[in-house]
Amino acid sequence: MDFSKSQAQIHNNGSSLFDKFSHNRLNTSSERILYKLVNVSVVFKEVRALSSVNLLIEKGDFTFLTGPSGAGKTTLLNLLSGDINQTSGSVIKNNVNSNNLFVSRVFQNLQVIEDWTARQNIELCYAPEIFKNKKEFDREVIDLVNLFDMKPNLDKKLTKLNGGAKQKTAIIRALLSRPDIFLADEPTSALDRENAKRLYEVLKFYNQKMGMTVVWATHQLDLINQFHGKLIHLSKGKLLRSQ
Amino acid sequence: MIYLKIIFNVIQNNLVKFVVFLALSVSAMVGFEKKEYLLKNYMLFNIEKAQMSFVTDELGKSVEIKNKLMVLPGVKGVYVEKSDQLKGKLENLFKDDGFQEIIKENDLSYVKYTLTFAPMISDKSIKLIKSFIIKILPGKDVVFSTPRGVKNKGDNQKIHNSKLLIFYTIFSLLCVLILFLHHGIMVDLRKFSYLYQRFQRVKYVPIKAGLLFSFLCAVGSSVLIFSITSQLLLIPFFVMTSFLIMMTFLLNLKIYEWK
Repeated sequence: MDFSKSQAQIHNNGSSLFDKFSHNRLNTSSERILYKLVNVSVVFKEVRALSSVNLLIEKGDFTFLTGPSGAGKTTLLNLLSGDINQTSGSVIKNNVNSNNLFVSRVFQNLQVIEDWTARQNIELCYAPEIFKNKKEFDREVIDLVNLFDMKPNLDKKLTKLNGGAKQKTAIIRALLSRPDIFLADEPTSALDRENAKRLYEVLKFYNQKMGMTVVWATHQLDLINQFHGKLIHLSKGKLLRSQ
Repeated sequence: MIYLKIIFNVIQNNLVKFVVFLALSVSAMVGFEKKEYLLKNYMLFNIEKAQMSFVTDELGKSVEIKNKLMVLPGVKGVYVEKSDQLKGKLENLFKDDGFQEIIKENDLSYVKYTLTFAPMISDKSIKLIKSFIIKILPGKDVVFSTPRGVKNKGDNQKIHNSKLLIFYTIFSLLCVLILFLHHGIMVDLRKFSYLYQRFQRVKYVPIKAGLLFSFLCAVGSSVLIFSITSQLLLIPFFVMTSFLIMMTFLLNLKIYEWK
């Protein structure tokens, strides 16, 4: 993915190209569509966090959401997860079974219980209805823990762990809830390049083998340049896009 | 199962807070139910004991007289002092010059009886007690002091009202404390139920967990009260349950924000 080239193209052609492009795409609705955002704006008091955003997210998409701080990435994720509502425009969940779609998130502020151990935080997501039994869940925990090199930290309280380990805990927890849609807000902010790459590989695996849709918000353009996926660029609440 | 797990986590995280909350809730409920008993038996502060004393020259039979006085209705206690114990005190007790002179001129022997009365004793009862004393000491000198601390009906009502005011002030403070503790626990319950809702496929977790928690608290308190008083206090149970349920709904009105 040549991100710099595509980004330059977006900037050169302006939003009109995107509007034309998205208009065509928005008309090609299919059963695969998970979210269809049409002219969506989100305004907080006097701040316009999102402005006339048109967007399609299809089942099985692996999407990178980029943009500088304050561009509206978190707001867009909040909108997709249903945590906030749009001020204007429409958000259509187009899938027949959209009500049953489960969204899991990795938050920028992680939302982990610091007084608990990493294991306790991870086990919070154990749902008997999606695993055959606890053993199956434990096996998956061990696999992910080994993948993220978290084994030595598993029974330590999060207060005693560094930011990277806390972030890995939050990622593992979100993955173990076996979501249909995985929304990650700056999931690599405390990870080194090697761990970030490993995260991409794990997410790609879940994406390809289990059909999990991934939206990964980040401002680390140099990092995602090495990865493959759709690219959405936000700037000052407006959406520019690259394939 | 998931709701019990959440409640267990919350109690584990707020063990001290929860125990104090439960203890105060039980105390408040029992206290409210047994209000009159508490006012009568424990809230005796700021109330002067009703007392009256008399002196007599009947030196013998003091034990017999004491026993006779003790069984009179309205008499709580009788304290006997002999003249040799009293000499110094008598001069201060009876300021009348004539009496002072008698004490100085004659080496008289007296016995002083101090009677303590029940808090709500009436003037009429004291008059009856006085006539009884005169009756059991025929031909003897008896000098009564002015009764102290005897309240009339209006005074008693005033005292009762002030006691009620104090009781309700303490009760309100207790309720505020209970509310404060409950809020602290509920905030944690919201936090846990929010997380469980996020990562489990279950809906309305905060409300369901909150309602279950409220119900368990109310039942738990009732069981504790029953074990203490052997009574099922239905009204406090319903008041507490409704209060906890109302608080659960109020706290869940606002969308939870992670802190």
